[in-house]
Amino acid sequence: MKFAISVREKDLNAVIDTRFGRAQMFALYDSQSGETTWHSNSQNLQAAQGAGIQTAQNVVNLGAEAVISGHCGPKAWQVLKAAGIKVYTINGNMTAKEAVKHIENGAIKPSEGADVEGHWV
Amino acid sequence: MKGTGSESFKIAICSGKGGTGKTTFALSLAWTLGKASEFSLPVKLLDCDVEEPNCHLFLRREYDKNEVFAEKPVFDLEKCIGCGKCARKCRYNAIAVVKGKPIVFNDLCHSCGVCAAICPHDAISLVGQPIGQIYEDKTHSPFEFAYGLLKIGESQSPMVIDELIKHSLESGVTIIDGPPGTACPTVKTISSADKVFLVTEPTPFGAHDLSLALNLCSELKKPGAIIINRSDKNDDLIERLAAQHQVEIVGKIPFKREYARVCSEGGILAAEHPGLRESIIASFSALLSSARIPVRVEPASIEADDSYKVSSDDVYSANGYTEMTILSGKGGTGKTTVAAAFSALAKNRIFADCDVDAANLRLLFNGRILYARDIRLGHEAVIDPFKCSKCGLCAEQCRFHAISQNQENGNFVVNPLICEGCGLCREICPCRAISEKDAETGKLMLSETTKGMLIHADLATAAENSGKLVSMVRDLAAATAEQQQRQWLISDGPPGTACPAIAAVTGTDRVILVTEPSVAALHDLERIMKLVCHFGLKPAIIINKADINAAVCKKIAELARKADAAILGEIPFDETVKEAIKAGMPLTEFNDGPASQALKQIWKNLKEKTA
Repeated sequence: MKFAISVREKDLNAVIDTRFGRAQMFALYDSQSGETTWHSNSQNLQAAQGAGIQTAQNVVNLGAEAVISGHCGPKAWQVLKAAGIKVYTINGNMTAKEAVKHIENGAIKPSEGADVEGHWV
Repeated sequence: MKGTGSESFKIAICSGKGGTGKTTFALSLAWTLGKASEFSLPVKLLDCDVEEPNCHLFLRREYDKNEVFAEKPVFDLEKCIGCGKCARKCRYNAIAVVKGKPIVFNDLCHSCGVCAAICPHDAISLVGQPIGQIYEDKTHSPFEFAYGLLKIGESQSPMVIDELIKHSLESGVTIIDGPPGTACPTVKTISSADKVFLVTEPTPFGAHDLSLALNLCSELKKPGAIIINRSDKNDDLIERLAAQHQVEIVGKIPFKREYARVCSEGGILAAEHPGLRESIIASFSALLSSARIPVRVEPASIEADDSYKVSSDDVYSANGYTEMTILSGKGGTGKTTVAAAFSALAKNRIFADCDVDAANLRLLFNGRILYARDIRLGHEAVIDPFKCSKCGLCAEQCRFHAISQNQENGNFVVNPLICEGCGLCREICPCRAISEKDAETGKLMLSETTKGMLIHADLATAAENSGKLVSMVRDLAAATAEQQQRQWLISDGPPGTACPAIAAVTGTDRVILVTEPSVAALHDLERIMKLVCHFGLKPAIIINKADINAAVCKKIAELARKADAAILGEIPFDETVKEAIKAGMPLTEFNDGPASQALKQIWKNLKEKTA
C-alpha cells in the first residue's frame, strides 16, 4: 500500500507530524517496494484558509492509498473520502515506521470520520 | 442641511472598541434629527453591524425581509473534464477536484468569480446562495430604518453591508451604525460614508482602539469627530489623543447609571431624556461644519530581541493543556476584564489576545515584547498604466469594487484597502497589465509578562485576513504552551460572529461567554451561542454587571437553560472595574472589591470543575 505520512523531517524513524493541513512535508512510502519519496507541503503552511483541503488535494494527486497523520478536519476528510483514501489517525508520539507496522498488523484501524471539528481557516 | 454641499449625506458611527455606545448614539441621533423641525430632510438609520445588529431591538417595528445572495460556483458535470484549474486558481481553497470531479466548499468561497472566469470548458456558472437578510422597516417615523443580518457560520459580512448601504436615502441624512473593530466590515462602512462620528469612552481600552479607528479614517481620507460616552473627570486621555490626530471632540455624554438602565431596557436615550437634544444637535452641526480628516499617528515602534527564537511549525499537540476561549458576541461586555482576571489567577498558564483588530489585553500586563514578526499574507493587485488599454473590464468585473478610474488622468487604479487579492482582474485582463504584490497583514508578537507569556497581534490598518492572523496567534500560543508545558491557554476572543470569531472558536477546548443584562447583549449572546454550538462546543456563561437589570438576567438564565449551557456566575456592577483598567492592571490584582471577589470565586469553581 502507498502511504502518505505527515512528517517533520526526511526520516521514517522520526516522529510523525500530528498536523495534517499544516504539515511541512509528506513521505510517500510504498510498503511493497519499500521505496520512499518526499513531498513538500509548505505552500499550505501559509494558506489563509482551506489548508486541509489543499493538503488533501496534494495527497490525492500523489496517488496515495492511505494517509497517516494526527488530526484531519471534516473538509479534508470529505476530499480524501471522495478519492477512496483511508485515513489512519495517530495520537501522541509515534514514528512513521512504527505506525506502518501497527497498521499492517491490524493494531491501528482506519478512522471512521473526521476527528477534529472544522478548522475554518 | 447647510454646509453639506449635497442633498444626500451619509454619516458612519464607529468606535474601534465594541460597547462604547455606538448604537446608543446612533439611535439618539436618528431620533433627534427625525423629530427636529429645523431639519426638513428625511432621516434614515442603517444598522451595518450585520454580525450583531442591535438597533432593531430598540425600535420594535415591522419589517419587509429580503434575502442577500452571494454568487457561488455550480458545475455543469457534462462539460467539466476535471482538469482542476479552478481548484489551483482559487485563493480561498474552496474547490478540490478528486478523480475528475469537483467538490465545492461554499463556506470558504468569497464569491470572487475567478473559477467561472478561468474555466477552459465553460463548465462553471455562478449561482446566488443566501448569506443573510436585509430588513426594511415599514413605519418610517420619526425616521426610516433598515438592518442587515449575516447568517450564522457565514463569513462574508462586507457583502451584506454592501447590500444594506444600497438602502441609503437618495435625498436626506443616512446614519450608519457600524461594526466594532477596524477590519473589513468597518472599512466597508467608513468607505461608504461622507463623514464619521467616533464614539469612545475615557479608558485606556477606549483610547487605544479610538486611535486605530482614527488611523483608519486617515487612511480612507474621511473627516471625523469624536463623541466621548460615559464621560467623567478623566477625559484627558481622549483629549490628548484628539489633539495628536488633530480632530475635534464634538460631544460628551456623561456617565449616569440611569442612562445605562434606559439602554439595558431597550429605550432610546434621547427619547427618554429630551434634555440631551440640544447637545446632540450641536454635535451634528459641529461634524458638518468643522470635521477634518484625522492625521495619522504612528503607533510606538516595536522593538524585539532578535535572539529570541520561537517556532510555531515544529511543535504541536492538542493534548497537554486546556485552551479556554472567552467570547461575547457583543463588544464591551467585559471579555478582556474576565480574560485578564483568569490569566492573573491561573497558575501555570500562558495567554493570548485573539482580538487582533483591537488588541487590548497587553494594556493590563506590562509586558516586554520578546518577539515580533511582520506577517504578509495574501496579495494585492497592481495595474501597470503603460500596458493598460483602459478597457475597464477589471473595474466592471471586480466583485469587491476595488478598482476605479482616476477622473484626471483616466488611469485605472486598485484601492489596496478594499482589494481582497482574489486574482480575478489579473486573470481576465486582455493586456496582461495587472500583477500582484504581497499584502501587509500585521504583526505577530510574543511578550513576557509577570504572569507568563502573552501572544498577541496587531492587524495592519484595513488589512485582509484578520481570521488568519487569529489562527497564527493561536498556533504560536499552542506551540508556546506545549514548549513550556503549561496547563492553561487562556485566550481573549474578538467580538462578532464572522471570520475572526470563527477562527478563534474552532478546535478550542472550552468557550466562556461574557454577557451583560441588556436587550442588545442578550440578542448577541443568542447568536454567539449558535455559532459555538455550530462548532460542536458547549459554552458556559458569565453575567457581568448582573445587578443592572434583574429582568434581563432572568431571560439570560432562560436562554442558557434551553441551550443546556451552564451559568458560571454573576459579577456585580462595580465602579472600580474602570479604575483597574485605568491603572493598567487585572482587576483581581488591583483590589478585592465586589467584582474582583466574584471573579475569584468563578475561577475557583471553574478550576475545580475542570479538575
